[in-house]
Amino acid sequence: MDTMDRSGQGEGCGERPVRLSTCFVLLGLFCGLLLVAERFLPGIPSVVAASWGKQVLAALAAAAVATLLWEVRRASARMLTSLSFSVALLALLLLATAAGTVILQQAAREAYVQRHGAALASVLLAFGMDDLFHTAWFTGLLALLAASLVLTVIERRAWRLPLWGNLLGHLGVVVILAGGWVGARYGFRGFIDLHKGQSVREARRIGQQGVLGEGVPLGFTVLLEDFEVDHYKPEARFCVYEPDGEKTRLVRSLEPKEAGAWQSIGPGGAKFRLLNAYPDFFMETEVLDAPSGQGAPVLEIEFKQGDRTARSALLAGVPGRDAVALSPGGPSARFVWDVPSDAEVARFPETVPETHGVSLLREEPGSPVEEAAVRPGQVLRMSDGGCEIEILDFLPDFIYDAGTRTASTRSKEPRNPALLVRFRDLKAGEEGTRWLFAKMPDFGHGGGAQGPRLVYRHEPARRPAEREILVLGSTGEIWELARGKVARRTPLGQWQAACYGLPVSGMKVHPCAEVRQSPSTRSQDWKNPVADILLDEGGKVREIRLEAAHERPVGLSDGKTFLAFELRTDEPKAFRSRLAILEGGKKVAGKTVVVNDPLSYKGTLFYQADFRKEDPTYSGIQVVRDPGLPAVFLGFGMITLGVVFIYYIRPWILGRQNRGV
Amino acid sequence: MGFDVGVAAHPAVAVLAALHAGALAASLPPALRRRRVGNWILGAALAFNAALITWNWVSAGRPPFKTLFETLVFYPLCVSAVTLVLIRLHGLHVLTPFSAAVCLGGLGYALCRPDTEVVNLPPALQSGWFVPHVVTYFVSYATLFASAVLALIALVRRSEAFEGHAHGAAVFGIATLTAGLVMGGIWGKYAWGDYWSWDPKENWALVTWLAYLLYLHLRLMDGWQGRRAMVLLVVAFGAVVFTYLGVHLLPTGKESLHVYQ
Repeated sequence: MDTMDRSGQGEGCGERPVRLSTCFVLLGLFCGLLLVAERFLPGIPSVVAASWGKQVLAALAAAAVATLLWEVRRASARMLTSLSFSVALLALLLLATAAGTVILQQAAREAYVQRHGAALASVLLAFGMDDLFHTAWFTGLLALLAASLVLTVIERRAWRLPLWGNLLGHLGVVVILAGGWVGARYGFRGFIDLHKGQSVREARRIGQQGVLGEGVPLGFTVLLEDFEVDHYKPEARFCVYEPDGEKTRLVRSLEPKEAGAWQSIGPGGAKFRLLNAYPDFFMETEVLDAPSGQGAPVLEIEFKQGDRTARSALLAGVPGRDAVALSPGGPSARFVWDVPSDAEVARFPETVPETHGVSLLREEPGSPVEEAAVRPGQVLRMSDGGCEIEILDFLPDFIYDAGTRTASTRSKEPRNPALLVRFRDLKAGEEGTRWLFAKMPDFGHGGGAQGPRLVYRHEPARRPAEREILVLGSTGEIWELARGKVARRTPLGQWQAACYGLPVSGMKVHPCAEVRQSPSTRSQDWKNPVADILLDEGGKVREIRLEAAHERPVGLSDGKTFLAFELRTDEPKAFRSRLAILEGGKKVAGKTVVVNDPLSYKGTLFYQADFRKEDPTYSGIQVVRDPGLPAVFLGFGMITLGVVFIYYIRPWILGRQNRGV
Repeated sequence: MGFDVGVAAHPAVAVLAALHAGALAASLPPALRRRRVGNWILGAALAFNAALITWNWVSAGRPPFKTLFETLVFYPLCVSAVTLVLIRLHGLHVLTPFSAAVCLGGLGYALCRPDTEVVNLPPALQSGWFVPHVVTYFVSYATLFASAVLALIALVRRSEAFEGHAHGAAVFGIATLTAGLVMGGIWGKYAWGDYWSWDPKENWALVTWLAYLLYLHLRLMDGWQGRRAMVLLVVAFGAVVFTYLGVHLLPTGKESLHVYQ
């Protein structure tokens, strides 16, 4: 099954075989020369611009080298076509490639110093090991490989049929290397940032480390007609986090439908079971008339938006439950029973001030959460006096400058509300200061002890609506207020919400009723997942409601095992850019480009490369021109075919020939 | 840590591991070896494995080759298939305990670090090249594993016949390795615009390919046939293992898109 007739090992009689060690030494010298030439003599091309004396010297030197090479051409050719040389070359390429995976490539100098110390880092950088695949010596090795393969094919006369495998396999590598060189030298890789409806005539060249350089004209216009992102359907999952040594990690992920039966969690034999899951949870309000004395006046308002109906129940005179906004940012309706005086009317509508709430979560699972409304400057005691919390400061739009180590606010808008608290655990004697973030309840920032688990809730101030509507229960009237005065009075039955563009489909006063709220779901789409579960810890069974939106898992008594109900959403499934190529204002080509399916036009390929979650009109397109590509693909086919030919087709041919004889 | 968790979450994989344990156990005692009981159990494991992969494919709605766990459940299919083919073609029954052992080891590891859920396929992997590229590579890896085992046996038994078998397996492994490498390049061109980007995983695939090319060329040199060539086959297989499992350990592996996270 051998392919070659050992002619690589000293082909004629009386010639000494080429030694492996000799090949390594010569290749080492070769790489060394190229390294020196690249690193330490950068001005070589400038000899062209030098004085005539230097030019004469350079010409003489070149002639001397050429003569030397010509004299040893026989020896050179013998060396280059020897097996020892090919083995040494393959071994060096293997070692260099492996080195390029161990040593960071194209990283900043500091990264090497940090990793290897200053001395070794200097050595590595001097040898070009920070980008070794693009150094002169590595490229030189590849060029030598190509040269030796060509010479080998010629020397062996591999165009003869039994050696076609050699021809294909060896020349295939040469063709790939040649195609790669052409692509690197004459090709182009660029990037285009596009928004829907935008067009460009140039692409920015992608340089080292992905840094974008100057724009290069394309010769035509590229227009992003449309861009879409498909997402995988959102889903909710029960996630079990268990201790893993010192850490906690996700160990199980269950779909709700799998959790109907008891599922064990944690090392302590605890288990849980799903009672009810609500994909798009809301509390359904039901107003039921009650016998006199067993209820209170209730105003039932029905909202209708599209095919969704919602219901609100207002209780007259109960602060916080006697008013509701009729539309986002629109007027609110307030339910009163008795007719208010002019003075009372003048007080409506009120501004709802900004509120801060701090909740203290204790270690024991199932223990009630303590909540308190707080103000900056306030000191409060929680946990039966065991914990003191002082509210030091509030920043509406928190930002941290790592350089000056100061926190400040970017604006007055409550975009990232943060509360600075000092906590004191009076029992353990621990004290510390921490920033709490309303938008990141699990993230604490600051020094000192961790302290108790605090969650900060922030409600922005609500500006008064221009108009407010009073519903009078005793008289069945609607009073529309404008700036503290009654603008219009209408009987309830005649008031048309639709005239005001409000999504109210009905209002009914119940003089004596009770309000029942029951959990329900608006739809089967996972938008606000809530699950009611039974948790059994060593016989102690309790019912718990897990809300995905709150991102607060339930912890077991071991303190390390957690069960959460999480919403998985926003996972991209496909990106589609509809690109059009325009020349002279006319569309000459177009395609919907997705990952793995680029648009090809005049030898240029356009790839779906990037998207931005926060900007759904943006699409990043990579532009590639590679004139060497056909050669590379041809070479791919050649080497695959070559290997198959050498080890399968040739033996079959030889076998048939032998049988023929 | 979570072996029992893994078993509870993936009972079919545990059954598959048990089958391989059975094949291993049955291929050791001489009485059972004579009756080729181990081979029959390996065959049962192969059939079960094929059914499992089919089931995973259908229930996930995508080829089950994305995560490390999924490939750890797939490679025993290739190893047992290659083993049984070699037994059929060349009567290499000696492979059975080794193949069963490596399958058992991989499945055991998989059960200790199972996937917690079936992740969705990102856009880059939604390509017609995904399946051929992965399958070709794993068939190659399985065959190169067989060649390493046969080389080891050739060294221990000082058998020229086994040297021949090891070389035969290596050749098939190298042909499929070449095809897998080429497919990866073509796919890369359509997905990312580059058939080669000196990515750590790609580089180790190249290192593996070069290691086997070194084997092919070295064995033509005087003094490098026979035992030295067999040693090369065993050492070169180390590159296969590192390419499959070890790249994430490298400092450059953290940034690679190619590496299992």
